[in-house]
Amino acid sequence: MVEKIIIDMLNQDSVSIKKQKYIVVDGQEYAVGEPWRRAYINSEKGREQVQTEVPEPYLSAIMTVWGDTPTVTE
Amino acid sequence: MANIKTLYGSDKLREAYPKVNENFNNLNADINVLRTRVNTIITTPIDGEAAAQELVDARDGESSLGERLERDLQVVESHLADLVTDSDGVHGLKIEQGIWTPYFFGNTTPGTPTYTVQNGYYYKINRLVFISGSITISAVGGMTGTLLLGGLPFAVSGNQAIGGISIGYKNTVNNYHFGFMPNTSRLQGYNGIDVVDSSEIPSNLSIQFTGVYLTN
Repeated sequence: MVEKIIIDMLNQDSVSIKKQKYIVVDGQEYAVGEPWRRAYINSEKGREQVQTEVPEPYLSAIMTVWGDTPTVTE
Repeated sequence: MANIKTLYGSDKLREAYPKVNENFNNLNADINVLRTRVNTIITTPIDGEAAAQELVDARDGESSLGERLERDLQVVESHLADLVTDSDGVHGLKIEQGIWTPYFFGNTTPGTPTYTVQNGYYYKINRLVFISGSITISAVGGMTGTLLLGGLPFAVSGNQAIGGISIGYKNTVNNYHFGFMPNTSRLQGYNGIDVVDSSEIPSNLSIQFTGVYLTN
């Protein structure tokens, strides 16, 4: 069983992280269960949260788009 | 064309009657031929060059009508209703369903509430997101500030008014309700017209809810 992390709907203000488990049978991947999602906002707290919860290299990909400063004030 | 035998004035009756009967028989035969032809025309309205052209058109590039029908069947089968969950969508209709994890946190101090129930489901159709969720805590975990409900699967659009969720069950008499906060991934808790102080909620708070919002 492998879990894939997919960066979805990434823009300068937010991102939705999708996690999906797969099994591999005869070289073919089959999704298992339903995808899990959580959205993160490019705010001060959202940036802290994404750094805590999203692993590399996905984190760096997100921060590349988000830049150095928050775009949303919560 | 019927072969009509001519009657002459000199014909005797016993000579004329057979001619008349034979003529009627021939006419009946011709009428039957015409009836068959008319029926053929009705059921096969065109023939000849026009019919050949219609056949070519119906094949639509295939070498036979059978191959054309097989092609159409494959097209239909590739658009069955149960395939609308394809990741690429069907006819531009993108549908996804999955799970999310709702959680409480305080706006001043997020805290670490203890959960005994914490689950959520979402169903997304293009920009429209339907959510349902259940949360039960057994400890507030140091939350302070306005009570917030986070973990939404998609960001809330900045272009919508503050919509709300419908709480079908709660184990408190407080008039709690939650509103989607535009441009965030959270909802804000209200008690009547005031925001909820997360440090004052029941330590065993339990809610079950559904809601609909727009994402970007």
